[in-house]
Order: sequence, then structure tokens, then C-alpha cells
Amino acid sequence: MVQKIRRFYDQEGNEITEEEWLELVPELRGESEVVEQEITGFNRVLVETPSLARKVELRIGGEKTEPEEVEARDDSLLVTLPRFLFTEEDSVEIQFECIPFLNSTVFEAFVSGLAGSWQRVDPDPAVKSATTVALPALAEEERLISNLKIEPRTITPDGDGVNDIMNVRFTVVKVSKPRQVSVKIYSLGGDLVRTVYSQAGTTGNYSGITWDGKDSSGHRVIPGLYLCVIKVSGDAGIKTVNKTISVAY
Amino acid sequence: MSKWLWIFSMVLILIFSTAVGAQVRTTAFQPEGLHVIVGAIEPALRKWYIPQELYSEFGWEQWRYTNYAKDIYRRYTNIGLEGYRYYDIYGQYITKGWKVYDWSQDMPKDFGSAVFKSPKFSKWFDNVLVSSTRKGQYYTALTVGNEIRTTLTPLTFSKPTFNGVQLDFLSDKYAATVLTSRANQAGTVLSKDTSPPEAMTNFTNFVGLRGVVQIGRFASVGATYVNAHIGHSRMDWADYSLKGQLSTWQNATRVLEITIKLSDDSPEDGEAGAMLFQESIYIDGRKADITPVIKGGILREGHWEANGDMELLLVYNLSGWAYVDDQGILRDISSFKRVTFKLVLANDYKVEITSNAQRDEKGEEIFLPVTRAPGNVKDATNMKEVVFDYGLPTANQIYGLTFELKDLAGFSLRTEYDINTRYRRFPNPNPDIREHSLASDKSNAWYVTLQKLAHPWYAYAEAFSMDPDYSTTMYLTGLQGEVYYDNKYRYWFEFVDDNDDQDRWPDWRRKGSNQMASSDAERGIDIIGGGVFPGYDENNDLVPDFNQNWNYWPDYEEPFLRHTVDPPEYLFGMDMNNNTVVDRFENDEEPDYPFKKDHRGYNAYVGVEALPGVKFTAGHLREWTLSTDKRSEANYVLFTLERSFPGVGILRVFNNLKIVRDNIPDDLVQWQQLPGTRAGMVAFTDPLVCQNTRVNSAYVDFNYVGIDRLTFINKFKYDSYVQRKPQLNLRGYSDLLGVISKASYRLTPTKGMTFEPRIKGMFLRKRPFGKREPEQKDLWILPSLINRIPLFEYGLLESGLEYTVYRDLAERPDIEDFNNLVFAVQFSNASSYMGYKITSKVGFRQSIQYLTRGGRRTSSTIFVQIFAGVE
Repeated sequence: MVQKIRRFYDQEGNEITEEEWLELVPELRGESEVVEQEITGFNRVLVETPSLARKVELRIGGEKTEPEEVEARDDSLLVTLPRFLFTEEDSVEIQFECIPFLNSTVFEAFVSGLAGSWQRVDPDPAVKSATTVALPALAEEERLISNLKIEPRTITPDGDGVNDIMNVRFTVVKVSKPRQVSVKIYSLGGDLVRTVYSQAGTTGNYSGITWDGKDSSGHRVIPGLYLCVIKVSGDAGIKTVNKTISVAY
Repeated sequence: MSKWLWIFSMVLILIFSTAVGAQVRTTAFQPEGLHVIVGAIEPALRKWYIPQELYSEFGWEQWRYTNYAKDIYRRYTNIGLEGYRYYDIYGQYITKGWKVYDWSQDMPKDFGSAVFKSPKFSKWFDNVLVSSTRKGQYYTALTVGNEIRTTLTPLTFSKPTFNGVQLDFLSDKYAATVLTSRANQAGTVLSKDTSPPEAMTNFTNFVGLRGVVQIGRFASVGATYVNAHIGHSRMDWADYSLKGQLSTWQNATRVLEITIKLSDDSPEDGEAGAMLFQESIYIDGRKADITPVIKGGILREGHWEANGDMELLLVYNLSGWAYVDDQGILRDISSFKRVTFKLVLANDYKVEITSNAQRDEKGEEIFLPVTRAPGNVKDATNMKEVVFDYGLPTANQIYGLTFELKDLAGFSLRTEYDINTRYRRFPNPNPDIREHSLASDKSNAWYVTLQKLAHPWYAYAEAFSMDPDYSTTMYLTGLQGEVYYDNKYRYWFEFVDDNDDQDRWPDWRRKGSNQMASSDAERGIDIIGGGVFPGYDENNDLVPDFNQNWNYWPDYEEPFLRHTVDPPEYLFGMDMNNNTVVDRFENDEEPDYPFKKDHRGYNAYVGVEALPGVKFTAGHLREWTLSTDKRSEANYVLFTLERSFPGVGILRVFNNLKIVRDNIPDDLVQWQQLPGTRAGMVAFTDPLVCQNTRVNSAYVDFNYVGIDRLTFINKFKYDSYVQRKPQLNLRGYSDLLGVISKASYRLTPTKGMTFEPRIKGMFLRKRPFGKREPEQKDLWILPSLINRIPLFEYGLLESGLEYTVYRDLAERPDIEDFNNLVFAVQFSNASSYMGYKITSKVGFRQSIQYLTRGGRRTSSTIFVQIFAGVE
């Protein structure tokens, strides 16, 4: 960014500060001139995130500040600062919450002062893995499926608009290459009632999977208990999570 | 006067009697030290000497005049000719003779491990000593030898040439064995009886134990323990451990830098090798903020990868780090006791480790394996924290159980389960550290075989699992305690040898003069190639059956011999691992376990003998590798027929049909001899032609014996491979068709004279596996005639004529048809000479080859040969 500033000189042509220049008697003052100077500064910060960021807070120079704008997406967080920051003494701290799915998730950050021009923020070389978040708990986990939520657990698919649809949400972890992820409904006798979801997928949040209480032929199932089986076919083994659900009318 | 005379007489008697008593005193050989000799108590100034050897052996008295006119002079004899007297640790007299063998270990003491083998051990006893005894049904024997063939179990200990000590006990229900040896140097036969023993400070000792208990009539249970460990005699007995101690050389170097290498355990697929997410190092239980220097690999999305041939090195420099312990004392590298690494890894990783204390003879770093990822995971779903301590190997130990059931209601069962533990310790030359931190890795192996016989039905099932890290190898120390881990010829000791040809020598070279299977001198015969040829020596004369006359020509290519010897392509056998080589001819460079390491699986078949000699068998096998992602699966049926038709002949029919999916490479090292070359061991790579294939192998042979003196043999072989799915570079249909028909008739016009016309026809058609390999279609017709005419008493004039017609029916451009005529004549004689049977042969052979495109090649040989035989 370009900024106009005034420079002050003494009679010998040495640059001095404005205060020093004003202290001199006019006969001893040198020239003063306005020059254009390129300055580094930014007012926007973009952070790549593995999932939607929430609870975003901004601090500038250690003081909590309200950002001008916050735009959170599934893969990034864009924070517009209330003003340009130019000097090295200013520090910007952005706090937020999101769910990483991979061990050693790297958070890349970029700053911009001009529209369309982004500069990457380099991590502090003195700090080991400064922009990498490790998830050591993942290494201890054998599960590939976590955060499973089935709501409601009992559905009444009678078309009255209340609990007609069951929503299934879960997170797949540790799967770095597309592998078969499926959600199936089984009867207690082990018969497959309906394949609700079956696609190749990797680590991430899985939501928007629903079951309307119908079997694969489109008929409503009889009331009773059923089994919702979420399965991920990884190379190291097939992992499944089973939850009982019920259908009532 | 008389009183003085009496006193004087008494004194004389006393002197004389004591002197005589001293002379006639019998020598006792018990170590009793010296005694007070009453007879020597004489207050005389005259010097006299206690009678010893000269008096007791020869009656010689120094002061007495010697005259040999009547009593002829007897010369001195060497009293050592009958040996020396020996005593045990209790002072008990053992025997008069020679010490032949002695192994002792004194600690703490420099050169405390000593083995003495007298020259008589070799000259008198030919390197084997047996001390045995029995009482009733109890037997025991102690065997000391350089080449003891001994087995505890096939998974724990089996060597045809064990150099050490074996103590056995046997009764009707119990059996026990103790094996022991100083494995790094079990004892060289010394040049003299008075030579000092072979003493060393550093050693690798081996101990093996096995006990078996018979339960009832049919069952037996056994337990086995084998252990080889490093130690040195400078330490106290209290510090001696079966988990081993570091040798003086291993502990001489302070560990300053440790390097971990991460690589792809399946580099051939070029992807999804090692993924490293986090690393951390702990020293003495404390997390050390040591950042490794990372070399190689690629950084991708916050983690490191090493795929294909890449190597990722993590170099940790320990020298700059220190900590304050609980007592407030600063601990630096001179007092580190334990270094632990924690790595978060995923995918198909292989981890190896080295340090500045782990070098080869040239001073370069040697990596030793730490762990490998099971299977071949490519999607990071096997992410885990791998934790291990750094250390140098100090011991290898296996313990296990066996159970055997013999013929109980037709069932026979054999099972074995073993746990292998490999120990290592962290070296630090700091003398204040006596107990070096110990770490270990475990793996196991087991198998079960079950057989049921209920005539005419039979069934067999086997299941097994062999961990990839299961090891029966331990390192040996050198004279200075050095261990060079990559030098298997000098520094490796094997509990289970590789001996695929089941002869008296192991197939691989390891330390020890009894380990050189490829040494012609050790075998005592100048065998061509000196190789290993399992299954090719049916007559056990240590000579390959395809080259019985030990020359540079395989017998199936050599004139006259090729009538009776057929090429190996016409052999039939089972190929359960689908590498196109019959299993009984396979040779590898692995220990002879009953199942392959890094494999798990099962096999079962059931069959019936529908008619005498006619069997149908059907089975299923499934096998997979543990550290990679390979598998083998087959359904098979086998038909066998062996019938003898009296007065007609013997018919054998075999057919093996199987549907196979096998991508496990079963590479070999095979004995091979091409004409005009020395035989040698050639690497064979499994062509992997049965990845989804229908394979049929058929064999028929018929030996007609209906006419006296007529030999008529026919062989038919047909192998086909049908690819059920198109394979790149493989023909959809490959086969091998071989037919041999040969006959000979021996005429004896007069006594001793024989006239034998022969004819042999061979046809071989081969459609190779590779699409680009040309087809082969060979026809051989070999009529020949052998005559033998006796001359003189033991002389024989033999002549032979052989005509060969070869036609390349596939018309390959680089192969030329030919006809070949071989004429040979020889005169042989057998006679006795100086106790040997001398057989002489003088003869001439000429071969003329007529090429169908024109040209002729002639070769001639004149020979004079003499053999000295003992038959």
C-alpha cells in the first residue's frame, strides 16, 4: 500500500524528525518534502480450517476487538479487521473453535491489504510444528467413526410432520483415502431393510443422512426395534457402530 | 658296655627300619598333601634322599654300586604314555589318562570363558565323545561333538551339525535334553595336550532344554526352551543374565546420535509408504526437547511421508541435552540409561534404527529392524503410536509347548506354540551403570496338524501362523566382543538351519568349520558347483542324480546316458505355492521351519481310496502374508492311481486340478546346470502366473515288464494354465506337453556278451507364460546300440553307437535342426592292486553333428582313466 509522508531535513541535508525541525530557528531549517512510501499492512486474515469455525474472537495488541466482519465456511475463516495494521508491534490473535479430523492438521493463514492479493503467514521457525495441530488421541483410537448422533432415536413416520424423519450425523476419522462409508438399517433378525447411504468418502463430517422409516421398496416398516449400522471399510479393518432405533406409529 | 651296645643297636634298628619302611611305603593317589615321614626323622648329618621315582620304579639307589651284568639294564620309559592323574573338585581321584574336553567359565575374571579340546578329541575320537549309562529303563548320555545332529522342535532348534554338548535322559515316559555351547567359539581342537585352553572374555552362550512326558499310550506333551545370549566374564555372577549383557565392545561406545529410518514396507507399489505424524524422544523417562534433523521423505499436509524407494531419516543428537533428576543432580549424556521413542505412524511403514554405536567393519552405520506395519494399509486407518526403546541386541530366547497325539481312534495331532523374545540393552560405558536398561520385542509362531485315517477315507487339516519377526538367529561376539550385525557369515548363529536338501551340512554359510555346505573340501568330494539340490539326490550319494558322473554335462544331454535319464521338465509333483517349481525340489535361504515366516493360513483336504491304489482327494487352502497384503487361495482335487499289473507292468496316473488366486511371491535359489558350464545356485523369481488361474497338471507313466529283458517306459505329462481373467503380459492359455517313450532290449548271444539296441523318443511342446516368449516344440529321436564283449578274465570291450535326430517343430529362427552321430568304444579292465580294485578304461568317442541347413561339427575324445575302488 502506498502512503504519503513528509520528510524533514537540516541545512546539511540530513534527515531529522519533525520535532527537531520545528525546534530549529527558521534560518537553520532545511527543506521538507512530501514523498510516497510503500508500506506493508493488512486488514484481512484468512485461515484455512478443516471444518466450520465457531466462537471467533479477535485480539489486536492483546486487546479484545470486535472484527468488522467474520465469514466462516466449511474449509476457511475470513476475518476483516476494524483497521489496517502496519507496524511490527501490532499482534493479531484470532481464537476460534473447529473440528480437525486428521492428525497433524496444518492451519495455513494468509493476510491481505489489497483486494485479491494474499500473502501467506510463515510459521515461527523456532517453534516446532507451529501451525500444526496434533491429535495424539487419534493414534490411541481404533475407531474410525465418532460423534455419532441419531435424532430422534424413535421416529413416528406417520406423515404428521412430527418425528417423521431420522437424522444421522457422524464423523469419520483417520481415513485419508476414499473408502466405502455406509449407513444401513437392519431388522433385529439381521435382514437388511434399507441402505440409507453408501458412498466412498474420507475423513470428515457426515450429515444430512436421513431415514424416513421406509424399506427399500418404499413401504413403511412395521413398528419395532431396528438397528442402524454405520460402517467404514478401511484397509486396516472394517469398523462399525451399531445403534438401536425404534419405529412407532 | 652292654647298655651302650643295646642303645647303639636300637638306634641302628631304628634307622634301618625307618629307612626300609620309607622304601616300602605304598604311594596313595588321593590328594592328601605331604606327610610326616617318621623314617626321615634321624639326627644324622649325612645327607640322604627320600626314595622316589628312581627307587620305586627302577630300584636304583644313589649310593649303591650298579652293575648290569646280571640284571640287564632297563631303560627309562615315558610315564606320560599312560597319561596323567586327574582329580575332581572334591579331590576325588578320577582316572589316569588325559583330559580331552573341558569347558569352564570363571567370573569375574578376564578371559574367564575357556574351552579346552585336546588333540586326542579329534585324533582318537573323531570329534565325538559319548559318556552314557543306564539303569533298568532309565538311560542317560552325555555327547560332546563338533557336528551333532540334533533337533528339539522344528520351530525352535534343529541343526545337522551342532557344535556343543548334549545331555539326554530317557525313560519309558519321560525324556529330557539339555543342549549347551559357547556358540561364538565352541572350541577348536588344540595342537598339544599342554596347550592352554581357548579363553575369551566375551562370549555368546547357547542353552537349550526340552522335556517330553508321555501321557497314556497315545499322547505326549513337551516343553522347550532355547536361549542364546551375550555376556562377558568380567562381570559378577550376580549380573549374569539369560537376557544377555552387553559385550565389552558393545558397551565401549557412548551413544551420541541415534538415527531412525522410516521407509515403505511395500516399495513395489510406490505409494502409501510410511506416514509420520508426530515424533518424540524420552530420555530416562523424561521428554527431551530434541528436534531431530529430518532428511529425505516429503512433507505433505503437516506430516512426513516416505513412499516407494524413499527413506525418511530422523537424526537425534543426544549430546547437547541434560536434565536435573529427582535428587537435583544434573544428568547429561554420560549418565543416560534409557532412550525411548514414540512415533505416530500410519500406512505401510517400516522402522529401522541405528546409532554411532552400531557400525559395520568399515565404520558405516548398520540399521537394525524395529517394527513393520501389518498388511499394506494405504488409507491411514492403522494410525497408531509406536513406542520402542533403543538398545543393542543381547539375547534371543524362545519357549514353547508341544502336544502330540498318535493314532488315537485314527486321529493324529501335532501342535506347537512358541513365543520368541529378543532382548536389547542401552549401552553406556559409565562404570557406575551396572544394570543396563533392558527392552524386548515379542513374536510368536504356532501350527496344528490333524490327520484322520478311517480306511478308505482319510482327512488332513493344518493351520499355522508365523509372525514376520519370529527369529531363531542370534549374534555372535568376536574375540574383542565385537559384533558386526550385517556379517551373517561370521557373526550370526542359527537355532534352526537352512537344510533343504536334508544332508549333513547346512545350506548356508555361517561361522564354524562344520557350516560350510558349499565347501568342496568339507564334503570330501569335488562336486561340481558344490550346490544344494533338494530332491535331486534320491540315492543319497551327495551327487545330483542328473549328473551322476560329475562332469560338465547333465546326463540328460550326454550321449548314451540320455537314454535312461530324462530332463527335469518331465518330472511331476505338487506345487502348493504355485511358483511352477515342484515343492520337493525347492531351495531357499530361510530356516527350515515347517511353514513360512510371515505367513498365516490353513489347508484341509479329504480323500478316499476308492480302489486299491486309486485315490481321490479334494481340498481347500488359504494363506496370507502378515506384513504385506498378499494372499493365496486354492480349491484343488487330486487323483492318483498306482497299479501294478503282474506280468504286464506298473501304471501310475496323477492329475491335480486347482483353481488358484495367488499373488504371494515364492522366490527360490535353485541348482542349475547348463551344458558345458559348472553348476551353480541361480536365483529364481516366482513368475506369479497363478493370480486367478485354473491349473491342471496331469502325469501318466507306464513301465511295461511283460517281455523278459525288454524295458519299455512311457511317460506323459501335461500342465495347463488358464487365466480366468486377462493378465497383462501373460498368455490366456499356457501349457507344457511332454511325451517320452523309450525301449531297450538286451540280447546275450553268448555268455558275458550283451547286445542292447535302444530307442528313445521325446516330444516337448511348451507355450510359455509370457506373451512375448516364443513357443517351443521339440522332437528328439535317439536310437542307440550298446555292445559288450568280455575279453580276458575281467576285461570288457564296449562299443556304442547313438544317433540323434532333433527337430525344432516350432521353427524358431535361432534354433537349427540337426542329426547327430556318436560312436564310442572303450576297453575296460578290473583287477586288484595293493588292496584296491583298479578299474581302467581306455577309449575313444567321436561325435558328428549334421546341421540340416548345412554344415557339420565334429568332436572327438580319447581317454585313459583309472579308478581305485574299495568295493
